[in-house]
This record gives sequence, structure tokens and C-alpha cells, in this order.
Amino acid sequence: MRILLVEDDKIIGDGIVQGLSLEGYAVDWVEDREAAYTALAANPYELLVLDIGLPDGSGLDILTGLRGCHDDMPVLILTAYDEVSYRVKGLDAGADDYLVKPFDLNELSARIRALHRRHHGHAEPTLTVGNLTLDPAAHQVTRNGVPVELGPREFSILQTLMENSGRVVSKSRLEDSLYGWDVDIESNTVEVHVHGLRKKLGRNVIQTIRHVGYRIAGHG
Amino acid sequence: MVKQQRRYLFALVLLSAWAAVVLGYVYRAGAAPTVVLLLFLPLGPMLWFLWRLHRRAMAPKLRQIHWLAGEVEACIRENRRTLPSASAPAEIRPLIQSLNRLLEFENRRFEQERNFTADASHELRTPLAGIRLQADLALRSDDAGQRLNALKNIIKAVDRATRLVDQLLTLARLTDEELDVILHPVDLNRVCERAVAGHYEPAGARAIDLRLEKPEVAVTIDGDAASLLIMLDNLLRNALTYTPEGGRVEVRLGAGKGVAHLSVTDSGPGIRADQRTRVLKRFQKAEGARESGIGIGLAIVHRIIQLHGGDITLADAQWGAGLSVRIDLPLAETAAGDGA
Repeated sequence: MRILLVEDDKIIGDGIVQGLSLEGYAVDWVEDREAAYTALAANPYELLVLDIGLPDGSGLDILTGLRGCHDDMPVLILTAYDEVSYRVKGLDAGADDYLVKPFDLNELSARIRALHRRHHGHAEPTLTVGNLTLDPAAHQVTRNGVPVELGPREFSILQTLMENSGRVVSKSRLEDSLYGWDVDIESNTVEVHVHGLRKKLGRNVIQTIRHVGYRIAGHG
Repeated sequence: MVKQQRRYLFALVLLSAWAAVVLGYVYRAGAAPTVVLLLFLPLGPMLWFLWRLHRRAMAPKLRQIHWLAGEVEACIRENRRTLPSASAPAEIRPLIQSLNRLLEFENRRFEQERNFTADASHELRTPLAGIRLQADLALRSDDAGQRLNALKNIIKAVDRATRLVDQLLTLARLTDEELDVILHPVDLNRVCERAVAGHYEPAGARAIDLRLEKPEVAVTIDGDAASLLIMLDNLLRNALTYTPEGGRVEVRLGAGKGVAHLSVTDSGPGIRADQRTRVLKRFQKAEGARESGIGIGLAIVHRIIQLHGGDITLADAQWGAGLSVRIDLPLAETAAGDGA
């Protein structure tokens, strides 16, 4: 999942980027409002982690801007102010969740997972398609109940395909979800990982739709 | 009320006259038992009248005082903020109004302290969050390099928190309204030199051109050297923090017409015109980790200037992009006389 982090404190930002990257997320990090607007306009993100106290204004402005354009991207707010009035203000401005600093990295990931789930319309924490079950929290995939070892990128691609089960996902969309802007993507990376998935899960698990993208096989 | 008091007073005067006459007679006659009787007969009622007069005069006052005492108790019990003045008798209304003003003053101070504590704890959450995240990273990472980096970041965050605590303590000390700063003649020239000297190294580390422009002569003001140094220190630190690598920071000192002019100018992003008043007030809520960082520093600066009877303005840097903090301080009496 590609996440945009807007946070002006360098140590906190570094901690979040590294922590979320360890969990397989692709995180882009900007430090002020202007840079955030630029990034949002230029790249597709699946979730926004937003610090309210920014040097050039309130992060809430970014939020109201998004919602004003009917963008329903999940937004999690980070702030140092824990008063109820601020929380209400943030949530009413359109935030989906709110974390007060200092926070636990595990809690941040769990809330991100929860927001992601809701956004994709899943209530259950795990994804099931055919004989495959994917647990995002435990980072585990089982096939017919047997756990399968997957690399972080393979896991991420499989998760995206399973979340969009029944639909074709384009290669570029898979690329976007894997990489932040400061990582070079080789043109065949997605193919390599899909190949790896097929080796581990079976040839027919992922269907290739020529010139369009990939689709996970099996509904129910 | 008053009429009755007058009557009692009249009766008192009459009875005293009677007592005086009788005493006079006694003195001349020397006769004992009947005289004593005659003497005490009016004395008794006289004392009684005195007593009643006193009671009648004092009773309403006592009642009012008791009533007021009751209201103050109720105030304490029910945590009310003001005493009711509308229902009070006219005589004690001024007293109630004064008491209310005192209460207001106390409430304001209490509010200030409470806000300060709240703001301080919010400020500290930022470095604490950084420490926690980095420590978490160090724990879950297998990479030695990443762990090392995390530990280094923790040290950085602790240093920042320490500095924040120092600034908060300084501000708390300065905000004490009863603070009596002892002023004596201080040469701003020397203060500027000392302040700037302490920042050449950090400036150099980021290739920032740090300059001090000052006159040859002494610029003497009535002040407290230590806090003036703190003021300049805060201004320079802010300037250096927000100036990018290769930028410039200039401290300029001058004097004219009984006023010392001091300015610290940087080539950083500056502060938007509409934000400037807010920045000068302490701890504006809602906006910003970084802005509150400026906030504390400038709040300290502002308070020190207040204590010295000076003025501060924020303006654009003379070279375009950047912030110029301009301070005016009254020159010491003798120096002003020379007309620098």
C-alpha cells in the first residue's frame, strides 16, 4: 500500500517511514503543506497519515481540501493535542482516525490496516479467495490451511489482487502500490513477483489479462 | 435608623448631664447612701441606652459582614468565580467589587499557569513521540546500521526535549508577574559580541554567513545583562535554525534619539505578515510543532523586552526573503543625554 506521510518533525518522520516500511508499506514523506499538495496531485496514495501541526499552516486544511474535492482517501491524523475538542474538530473535518503523540508503532499499523479494510469494504480482518487466506496483521498467507512463505513484495501484490477479487488490476497500479518515489522500479519487477507467486501457489492462481493486468482466480 | 440613633444619642446626652449634676452635688454635699442611689439610678439606664445605641448602629454592619462572609464561603465551596453584587446592600457594594477584582486577578493567574502547564506538556509530546518510535525501530530491526541510526536519533530527540524544558523553565520564570529585574547599565555592544561569538561555530557548520554590524561606541541601556544575552541567544538560534545552508544571518546594533536599535535578520522562509501578531503571543494553539518552537523562543524574547521597556517588531528582511526581528530599547539616561 502506498502511503503519504505529512510530518514536519524529522525524528518522528524517520521513525514512521522506517517502521511502516518494515511492514511492507511504501511510504512517501513530506514535511509541509505545500509539499503535501504537490505530492497528492502527482501520485496515487491509498492512505494519508497527517500531522496537524505543520510549519506553514494546519494539516486540517489539507484534509478539508481533500474532502472538498470528494476524495475519500482514508486519513489518519497525528497530533500532540489530546483534548476532545481537537479530536472532534479533526474527525468532523473528515478524518477517519486520530492518534495522539506519543503513540505505539504497532497501534499505528493496526489502525492503518483497519482503515484500509474499511475502505475496501471488508469487515473481516482476513481476506479469503478460493483456497487462499491472507491475514494482513500477521503477514501470513495460507493455502488450504497450510502456510505459504512469501516475500514482502509478493505479499503486497497478492493482497492487492485479493482485495480486488473479481476485478482486473493493472500492472501500473500494482507498481504504484509497491514503490515510493525514491525507489527505482525495473520494468519487469511485477512480472517477476507474479511468477514467484505462481510458483508458490499454483499456476492458475493469478490470471494474466493481456495488455490490461492481472486478476486473482477463484471466487468462493 | 438614623433618626432612632439620634434619639438615643440625645437621651444619652441628657442622662450624662444628669449624672454630671448629681456627681457635682455629691461632691459638695458629701452625703452617701441616697446619693449613691440617685447616682446609679440614671447610670443604669444610661449604660443600657449606650448598649442599645451601639447595637443598633452596629447591627446592620455586622449583618452585612456576616452576609459577606457567608457569600465568600459559598464561593469557595461551590467554586464560583465572583461574588454577587446586585443583591448586596449598598454600603458594602464597593467592597464586593474590589473583592471581585481580586478574584479575577487570581483566576487569571491560575488560568495562565494551567495553560502554561498544558502547553508545556503538549510541546514535550513531540520529542517523546520521536524517542518512542526510534526505540521501537531499534527493537524490531535486524539491521545493525538501522539500530545504530535509531539510537543516534534518540539522543537527538532527548537533546531537543532538554532544550525545550530549559526554555519552558526560562519562560515560566520570566512570566512571573512579580518578577523584579534589577536593572543596571549594560553595554549592548558587549552583549551582542558575546551572543554572536557563541554561534559562529554552528553557523559555520552549515556555511551560514553570520555577521555583526555595530557602532564603535558603547550603546548603554538600563538592563539585565543575563536576560539580554538569553534574548539574543534565542533570536540567533531561531535565525540559524530557519536559515538554509549557505544563507546569511545579520545582527545589527545602532542607536539614535535615545533609543537603541537591535535587529536579527535571516535569509530563511520568514513569517507571513498575517501570522506575525500571533507568533508574538505565547503558545498559540492549533498550529504547529515548529511554530510553537518559534513561539517559545519569541515569547521569551518578548517578555524580556517587556521587562526592559522596549518594543519588538517583525518585518521582512532587507534583502528580500527572510525574517527581520527588530527591537528598540530605551538608552540609559546618561547615554541618552549624550545623544549618540
